[in-house]
Amino acid sequence: MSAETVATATTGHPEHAGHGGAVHESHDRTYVKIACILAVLTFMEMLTYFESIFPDGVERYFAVVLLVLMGTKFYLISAYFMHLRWDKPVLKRVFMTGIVIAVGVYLIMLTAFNFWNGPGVMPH
Amino acid sequence: MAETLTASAEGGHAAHDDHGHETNTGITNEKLGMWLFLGSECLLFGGLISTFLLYKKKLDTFPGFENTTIVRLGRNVYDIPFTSVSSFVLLMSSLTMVLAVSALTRDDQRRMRTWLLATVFLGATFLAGQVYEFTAFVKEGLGFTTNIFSSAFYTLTGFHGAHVLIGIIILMTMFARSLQGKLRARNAETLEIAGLYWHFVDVVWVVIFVVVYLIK
Repeated sequence: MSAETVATATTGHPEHAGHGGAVHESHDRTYVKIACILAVLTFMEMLTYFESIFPDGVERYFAVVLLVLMGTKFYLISAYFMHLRWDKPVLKRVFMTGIVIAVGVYLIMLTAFNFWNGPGVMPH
Repeated sequence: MAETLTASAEGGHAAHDDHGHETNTGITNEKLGMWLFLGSECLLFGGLISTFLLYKKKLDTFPGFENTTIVRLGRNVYDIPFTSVSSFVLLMSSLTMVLAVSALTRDDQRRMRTWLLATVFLGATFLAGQVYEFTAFVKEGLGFTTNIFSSAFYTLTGFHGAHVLIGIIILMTMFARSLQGKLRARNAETLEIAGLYWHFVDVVWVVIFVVVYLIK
């Protein structure tokens, strides 16, 4: 079995066929680039802690900015490191189903406990 | 060989030596099972995070924090720069994990073991940071049963820490299998599946770091 066949058989990504080690080398570079982006995004998240370095009034937008940064990091890890970008679409659907059900159920739960408007009916 | 090439052209893992028979999805049962498990884990951590969010408002029952609003929580309880470094360490462990899988698909055993050990080391560093953080909180008087906020906090971050520990054990097992010559390029999917679990633990921390530590 050639190295190309091994690479294709073990990853299962169609675009790997016929490229072998070269594709993996290029993917390794992609992984390093993604890690660098993730590190920068984490640094940006940490900066929001030091409110004094920002002009007055900006901190009210921090929650939105942090959620956008979080979503971007989530996407980058699941798409590239977890290979959802290259894998079969059914795996993406399986994972997204779990996320959508979890977000939906717990948004309803938080709403039921009046989370968005003060203390509400929080259990003691 | 013919079966292997056919499965490869279809983008599947059906003909792996260690993963048995073909499936009509072109995905091995092991891999599909792991993704289904990760989907269900979203519900577990979703429940823990939303419970924490509800009880976070009970911070003022913590002795010494009676007049503390949630806006000041970050400065009073958490050490954000320290936790940011921990987050960075866990993110980098995802990089070393994916590089280990990549090295194994090339059957580069030496690099695969190096990246695998680096992942274990980074994961253990993250865990050590969490133990240090918990110890610092307890010394300040914030124990598991101090108030409902602390119970929710320790349960959420403790569950995540337990997942990291399980991940480390799985990776150590993979390392031992590679030393025995049982982890080769032909069954690289075994390591890829272990990697999926590890990346998921990382993804969960991405959410926890923002929702629990940073958003005030």
